[in-house]
Amino acid sequence: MVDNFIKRLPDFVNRDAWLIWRGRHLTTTFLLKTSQAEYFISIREGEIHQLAAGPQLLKPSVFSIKASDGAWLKHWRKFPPSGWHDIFAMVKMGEASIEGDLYPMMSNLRYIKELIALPRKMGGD
Amino acid sequence: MEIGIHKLEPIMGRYLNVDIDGQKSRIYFEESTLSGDKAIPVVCLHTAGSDSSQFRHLLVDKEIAANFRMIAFDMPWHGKSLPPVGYQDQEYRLTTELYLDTVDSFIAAIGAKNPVVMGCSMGGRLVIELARRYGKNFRAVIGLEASDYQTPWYDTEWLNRPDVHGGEICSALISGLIAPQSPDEFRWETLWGYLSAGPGVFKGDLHFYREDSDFRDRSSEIDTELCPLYLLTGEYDFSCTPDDTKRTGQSIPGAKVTIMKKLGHFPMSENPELFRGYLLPVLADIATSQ
Repeated sequence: MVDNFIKRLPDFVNRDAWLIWRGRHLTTTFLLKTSQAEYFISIREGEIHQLAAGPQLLKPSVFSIKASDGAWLKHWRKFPPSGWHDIFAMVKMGEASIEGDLYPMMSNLRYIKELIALPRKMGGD
Repeated sequence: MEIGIHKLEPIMGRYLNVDIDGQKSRIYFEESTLSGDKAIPVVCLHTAGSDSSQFRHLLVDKEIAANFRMIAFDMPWHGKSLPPVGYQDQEYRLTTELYLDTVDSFIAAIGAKNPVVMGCSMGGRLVIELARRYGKNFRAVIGLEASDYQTPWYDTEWLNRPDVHGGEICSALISGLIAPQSPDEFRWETLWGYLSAGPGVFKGDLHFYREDSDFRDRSSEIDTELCPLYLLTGEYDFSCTPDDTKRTGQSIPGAKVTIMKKLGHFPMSENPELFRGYLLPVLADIATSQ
């Protein structure tokens, strides 16, 4: 279920003109990790250029965001429970981790937070 | 509450020139024009990195104005208050003593006698120390999203650097502190306070909040008979969590703690209608107590 949400991210990002505009200065690749899987999400000027399931040998990523399947599913509810409603709340509670070079994320924070919360619009409830 | 119905809102804004910590400061404040002469003054302290407009809904509330005179001011560096002369060659760093002096100077300058002080977030932290040191001067204090200590959740160095947009990162960071149920209009109004703040102001406020206000070793000294203490925290606040507030309340005999459902770190601005339902009983309690 989690994987299905993630696989639909390119479609949802790339048809959201305002989200692309907010990410227009961002070109990077980050890893989105779940309980068992990981996905390389390559962004080029705000659009998802490529979504590739890992692991992929020697494929670089700049930073990673990891949470369990259960945590992601709570995060993606229309009205998430307290503590799962924001990625930094999840990190503070130990329900998620963010590692790597955080500059691309922090300098485009609204874009990244909105991108990873997009499954809320896919009927995550 | 009648949100947005006034063509000319019953709020009056003025500027006050006052000495704070030996420096001349030009302070903007606004107050409700609905209150009578006998109304109890309530001085409102905004959150770190924002301004007094967070309280605008309370200033136009007729039911509140029946007994209370709501007053909110912008701290120096914030909103329409200027930073001190020479700000360009210094890094703003708020301390407990500077914050106390600012609030004390403002209250003295407007001549508010025995006011209630209501602060949110860093303002909520300050009212705890205000009640401890100067409790006899206040009718009561109300801490919104308040505790005597809380655990940090990010590196403040991100907040003020030339290669990251300060307004964008400050607002994006704190956006998650707003409850998901809060109306979009008020969510984005709340975030505008952060999007439009001056460079380094939020970071400077957090110097007080993180580095200079661990009051765990002294909050229990508050005499709530002398100065009643009310603590109200939103369930979605993961900065000052409900557990932080409950722990603080448990250490202060007589403190009254309320956890507010479907609210976050900015109750008065993110969902004013829902918040007043929690605030009105507190104000009624204060109005009827001596």
